[in-house]
Amino acid sequence: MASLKLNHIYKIYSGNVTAVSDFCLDIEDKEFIVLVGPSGCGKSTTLRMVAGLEEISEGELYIGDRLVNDVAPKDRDIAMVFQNYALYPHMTVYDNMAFGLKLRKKPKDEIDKLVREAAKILGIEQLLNRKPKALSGGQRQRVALGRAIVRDPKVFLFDEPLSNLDAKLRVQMRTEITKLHQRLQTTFIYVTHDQTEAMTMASRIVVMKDGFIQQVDTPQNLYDYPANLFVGSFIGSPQMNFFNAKLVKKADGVWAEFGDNAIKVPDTKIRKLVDESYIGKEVVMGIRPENIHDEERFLAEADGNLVEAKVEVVELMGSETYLYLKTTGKDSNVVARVDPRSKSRNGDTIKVAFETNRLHFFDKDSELSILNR
Amino acid sequence: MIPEKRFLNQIQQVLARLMQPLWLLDTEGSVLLPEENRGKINLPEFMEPGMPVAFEGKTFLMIGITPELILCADAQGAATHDCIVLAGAMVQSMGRGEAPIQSRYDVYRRVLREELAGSELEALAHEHQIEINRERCVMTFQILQTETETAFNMLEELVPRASNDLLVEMDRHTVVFLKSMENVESFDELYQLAEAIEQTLLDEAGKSCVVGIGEPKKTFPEIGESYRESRRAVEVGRIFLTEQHIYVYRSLVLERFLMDIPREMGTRYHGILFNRKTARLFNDEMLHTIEMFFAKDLNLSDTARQLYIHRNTLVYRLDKVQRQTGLDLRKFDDAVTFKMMMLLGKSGKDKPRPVY
Repeated sequence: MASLKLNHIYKIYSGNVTAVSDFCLDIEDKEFIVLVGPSGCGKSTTLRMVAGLEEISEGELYIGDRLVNDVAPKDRDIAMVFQNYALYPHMTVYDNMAFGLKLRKKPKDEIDKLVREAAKILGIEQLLNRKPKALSGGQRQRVALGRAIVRDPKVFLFDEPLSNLDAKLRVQMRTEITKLHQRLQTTFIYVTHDQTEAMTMASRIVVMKDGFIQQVDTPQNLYDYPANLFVGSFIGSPQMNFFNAKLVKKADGVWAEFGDNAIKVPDTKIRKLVDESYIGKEVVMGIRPENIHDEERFLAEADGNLVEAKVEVVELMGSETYLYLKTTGKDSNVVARVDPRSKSRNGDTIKVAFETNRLHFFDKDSELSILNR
Repeated sequence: MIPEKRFLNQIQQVLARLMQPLWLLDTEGSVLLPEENRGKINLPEFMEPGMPVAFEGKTFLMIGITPELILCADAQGAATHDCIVLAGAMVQSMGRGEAPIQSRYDVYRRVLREELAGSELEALAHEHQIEINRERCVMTFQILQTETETAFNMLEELVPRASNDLLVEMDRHTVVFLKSMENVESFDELYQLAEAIEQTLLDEAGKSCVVGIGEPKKTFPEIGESYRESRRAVEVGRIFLTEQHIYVYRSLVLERFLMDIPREMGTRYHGILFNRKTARLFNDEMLHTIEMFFAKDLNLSDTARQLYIHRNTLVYRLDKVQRQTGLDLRKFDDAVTFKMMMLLGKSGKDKPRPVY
């Protein structure tokens, strides 16, 4: 078990290509940190620097109190799990899990104890004598986890470990890894491009883009209070709807005008917009699909905050329904996540209500959140 | 390490006969020959055995023998290039001829390099009790950043071997794992084995490697061909599949074919799609989108999900490509045409740096 401190870390490749810039993060002991972001954002490079597989160009990395910049990977007391299970095909599960320990010349009885304990934790005791080809994808991934567990590391590093699994198995393994974290009470650092994995597993999420940290926070805070447009769009599926809106002051309050529509900005959000001199200016307005409604009770309570839209596609998901709508003007594509009992059908022209106290506003140039600063 | 005096004399005799003056250097750049010309010459950062490199007005060639030697000409151009390549081949063959075969590993090394054939090979195999009719496959490991230890020393510790498997050190960075096929049920197992070794190397030594896998061969004399294939797989794979580390010769048919197309012709065809007019269209984001679309087997929804963009955004991008190039990437034939043209751009580029 260990805390980690990443202090102004940079990774600069030859040709002055910067993959990671000024990465600062304190990771608490036993935390489950997820690094998330699109391809090329620097998340795997960061993980590889922690592992020691990539040299740190600038900055300091501490595991516990120990500066490990120049410590060899094998001496950092970490274990890595990658997306490929990388099991020896001719060895049994037991031998695969024991192989690393044998290389480290551990006594036979200690190896046996560690392997059996890890197998018990992962629920694969009955598979110990099987060879990898006789295992399912999920079971193989568990063996790969077991190989990491037997090393009893201070920190576990995961680089997209579930990418090779099908969707159903991925959901199952997600839960398994969360349970494993609770059971082992060790620091986990997990890299994924899948925001659902990040949201469901992490104690804290680090959102990255173009080598920079965009925001570090708990999953719920990231979702509710995105620091910028990128985080707002990246976290959440379907993603947040965005509109280029102009904030206009009228006698009855401040209105956000977009396309041929206008909605009233709630009083709770006006203060910051006024203080930061955004009235009369264009901003990017965001609203999540679940905050757009077509149900009667919402329409009745909307207090005029209704937007007319044409239903282009209705996607029934069982527990919810996605409406793909078209409004007037620019940025006219809107997605709403509504009740499955919704009566809206393809081709209908309907009115939808915006839950205005859930609106987000972003600066048009800096793309930073205006309300969450 | 300085080569033996006798060997240096032999090289000197060869160099003295050439019209083009050539120097012989050690790996530090110190001049070994001509003896009256002692001094030091700046070496290029990266050199591969057998590949001439032009640097600071000179031409350099590393010779793949032990100890490594470098030929240097104080000129550049086609004639210098040819001269240095021929002289290098001659010195290499003299150098290899010098080292006596002392162990079965020397026999394996020579056969892998295709330096032994016919009755000589059979006699040496018999003498060193090497089975001729055993099916084997070559896996070539090239290890990155081996400043302190040789690749062989690292892998010798880490690679689990069955009784008929063998590790052969080819040079400081390159090790051949000669895998006996007797208990290998499918070719996929070789790939899995390479993956597992790669992972072990990362876990235990913290080192990355690239692996090339040749075709299994039924007899001992053919392993040289398998070695050649494994090296070719690495060479081609590192150009086309930059994200991967394990390259399988048999899976790289299209890439090998494209590499065999003369560079000039490849560049010409690549330029039909990728030119000044389309430079703005094919920016990094668009190319990444298209590559992902191909990786997801032309599936719009999967691609959009993977890229975190709206499906309509993806459709819009593909429409844009169709408007400007006439190729609808959602159609198989057009996608194939585009992919070939795109890959031709990669094959036309210079070779990537060596892995170590």
